[in-house]
Amino acid sequence: MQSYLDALSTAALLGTEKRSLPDLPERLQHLVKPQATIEAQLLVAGVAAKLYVQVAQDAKQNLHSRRAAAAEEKLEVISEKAASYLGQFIQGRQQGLLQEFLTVAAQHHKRVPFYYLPDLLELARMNSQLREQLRACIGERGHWLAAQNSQWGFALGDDQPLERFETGSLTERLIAFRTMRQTDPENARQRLEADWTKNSAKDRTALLEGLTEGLSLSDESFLEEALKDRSASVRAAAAELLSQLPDAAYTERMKLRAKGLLSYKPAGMLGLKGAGLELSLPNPPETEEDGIEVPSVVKGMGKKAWWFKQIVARVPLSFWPAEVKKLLEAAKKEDKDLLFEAFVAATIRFKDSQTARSLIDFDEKGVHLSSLLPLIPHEEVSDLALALINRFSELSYSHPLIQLLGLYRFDWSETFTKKFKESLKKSLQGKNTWELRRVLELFAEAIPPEQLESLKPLLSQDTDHPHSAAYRDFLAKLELRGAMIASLKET
Amino acid sequence: MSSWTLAQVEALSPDSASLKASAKLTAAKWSNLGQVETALWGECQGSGKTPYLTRIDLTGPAFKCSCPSRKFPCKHALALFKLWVQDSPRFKASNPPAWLTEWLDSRASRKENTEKKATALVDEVAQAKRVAAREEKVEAGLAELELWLHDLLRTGLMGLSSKPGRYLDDMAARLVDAQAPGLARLLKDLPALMMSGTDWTQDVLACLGNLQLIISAYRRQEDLPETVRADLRRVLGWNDNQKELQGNEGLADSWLVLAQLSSQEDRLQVRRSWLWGKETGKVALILEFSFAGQTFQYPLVVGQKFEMELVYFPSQYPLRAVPKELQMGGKIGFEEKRGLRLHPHFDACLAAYAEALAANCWLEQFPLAITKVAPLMHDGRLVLVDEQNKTLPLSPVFTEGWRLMALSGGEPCDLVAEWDGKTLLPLAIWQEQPVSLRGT
Repeated sequence: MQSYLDALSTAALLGTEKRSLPDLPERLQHLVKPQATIEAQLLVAGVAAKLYVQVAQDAKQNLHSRRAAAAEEKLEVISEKAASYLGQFIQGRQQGLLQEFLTVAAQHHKRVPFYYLPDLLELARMNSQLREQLRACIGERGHWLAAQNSQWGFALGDDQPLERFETGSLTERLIAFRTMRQTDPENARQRLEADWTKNSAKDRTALLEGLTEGLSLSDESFLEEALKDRSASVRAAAAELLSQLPDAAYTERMKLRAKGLLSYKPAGMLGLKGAGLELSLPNPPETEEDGIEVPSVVKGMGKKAWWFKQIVARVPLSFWPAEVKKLLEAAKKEDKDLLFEAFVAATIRFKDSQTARSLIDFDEKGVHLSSLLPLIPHEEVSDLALALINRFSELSYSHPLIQLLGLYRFDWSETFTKKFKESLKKSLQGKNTWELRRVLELFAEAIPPEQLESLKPLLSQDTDHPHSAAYRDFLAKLELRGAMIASLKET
Repeated sequence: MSSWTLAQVEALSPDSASLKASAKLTAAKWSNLGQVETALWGECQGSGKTPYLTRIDLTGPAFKCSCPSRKFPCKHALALFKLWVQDSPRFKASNPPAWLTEWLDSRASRKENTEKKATALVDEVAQAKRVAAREEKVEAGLAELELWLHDLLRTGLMGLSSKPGRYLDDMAARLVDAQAPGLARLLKDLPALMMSGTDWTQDVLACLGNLQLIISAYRRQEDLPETVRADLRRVLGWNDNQKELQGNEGLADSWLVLAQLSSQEDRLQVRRSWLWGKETGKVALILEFSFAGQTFQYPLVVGQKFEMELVYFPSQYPLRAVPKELQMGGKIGFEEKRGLRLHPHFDACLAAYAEALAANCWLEQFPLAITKVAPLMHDGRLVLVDEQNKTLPLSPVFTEGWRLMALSGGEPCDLVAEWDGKTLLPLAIWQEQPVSLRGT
């Protein structure tokens, strides 16, 4: 029948003027009337033959092999109610709420329903902030699924890192390497060293970043070697890692350079003479030193100042003759900014939580708060929260409390709650609805939902107050978060 | 206890914005919540001083709210419904307020009225006149179409691609004028078929041949059984009178909604729901249309069953049907699945399709329920493999491959799908419950 259909098609293509029709197969003879015009015969035979072929086809043999089915789940699935919230957040692409949802689900050792796995993996592919939380609650099925889509490599399970490290793409190798560093850092590094030189410069740079996981002095000699690498980006990455080791020879070399950069004179015993601090700016080297190259153009400061900052940023803060707070107070006005920036960089590099706390007090404009806040020890958070609300009593959408509330859960003391409510009340008397709405939106994602009841009375609900709609939405969001968290505790 | 699930209530939402908005209307915003056996009500605090009065008739379900929203159901009705499903103890069984009973009464009387109207005498003479006029018009249109077809075939399809765009459009427009819009639609498929690859001549010939077939069939209508004539009328694009059909005797059963598919055509939303009769084993298609975000006529939701009578549209292979009275019958349970006959493999599906096509050669979509199909991913493309290790090509519009993988975990599973003669469009996976693979 197919060959007949082919012959018919040729006739139709060329036209009945030029081509006569092929002989009608017996099986179609009852359908096509010989007394009809030749064109009508061609048309009816054409549709009949086509249907005939279409109906006669069989399913094709499958040539692809099936992968083993997904393993049994070990985690319990979230409740139906929680799943309905999840569906809403996915549809509305509410990243902030999604992130909290996944975090809480992981805390309760729950997994998300199978149905939403593709949506969540896609969202996390586009937004890396969701990845870590998602990995913890996609269950066996999620890992199984991610293993079949190269774009979802970030969600892979940790079962066979070595295999993925040897055969995977760069992203997969890096993830696998980090996993290996978590369990056995020494062994992982040796594995990396084994075929280190076979990697391209781009891969070497990327893989070095994996060493931040479980970084210790035993990585030093390998990194010192990498500091002599052909590629500048590899050298810079190695220098960055070495500089995070306070006891490494690298840091000793930095201390040598730092000697004499600050000369501090403490205040007189009777307080008659204030403390003094002199900065001496060193000459920058001609060529690259310890993985640091002086750029040809430095923005906003001189090359000497730039080099000074590089050195101070790489020296542990305990090296200096006095606490940073005292040093900063003693510094001349024109030196303060430079010194402060350098200290902040060193604090972040060495994760120095004590210094972080005093630098926060010193950060008048609040420009470095976002990098300093994550360093604060947990027991100091509620004190700091109070200090921040006292210092920045006006709520704005860049208020450091938003970040702090997002980073830590802490008990709201009576004084803090009172202060916060005062600030909120003041904001509600402001004029700019659009700005207030934005501020409230951000706070609604950060405030612990159990504060809902205490915040409700701040604005009477029935009034025609210009901000009542924004405030209602704020309360509704808090309530939604509370209900969502409760739903994740249910089974 | 409610037989509704959250997912089902959410599926009633006219759009995702309404659903999102309804989520903000938490329990705190509601007061005076109440319920009787077949209705719910509550007052919702909006931005104004007076609360919105929201009511739901569970027998429909039907919704009414005093808010100005033109969406239907509005966010208040959705929120109220969801609240009831999640937390029904909040609703006190109490005497319904007047604003509820008035509405319920007016609904009841309206229903009576429409029933009365339906039975009102139709002017048979006038109707016969209208039909005759229409047939005359169609005959003239078909004669013109036949001339056009034969001209085209005489000079050959080779010339088709060099014809101006008007060539097809003019003919299609004349067919619309001749009250045969269905044929205009078939004609408009041609440009896509011409791009369909090396076999395009076969596809184009089959499409044109189908038009010839319709012309010939129309001319010898008197010789055809009534059911075939009904199919023919439908291909021409004539609408059946649904009201009249509903007067006919229906097929009573527990009808399970197994799959659903919505598509957008301009401002018109079309929804196809595939139903399976639990006792009769029959399949039915319910086709609904909605304009500009209106809600669909029937509250059909995948995973729900309905106790109702369905009246089939007359056809040589009856599929499309219209419900008479319908009543919610709760969720579809696992035991119901065992009662249904599933095809054991793809070749059995194709055999059933051949049978259906022999009865109605104008069938466009054929529903399939098939067991033990294993999904696998090959180069990011889904492949469905049956128990005989055979496979069918998938529809290019199918985008839920990863979801099917996620739900099945690679294990063989039962599927509900549509087959159009060329490709398979999976619509639902049926494990414990049928889960829709589309429309999220």
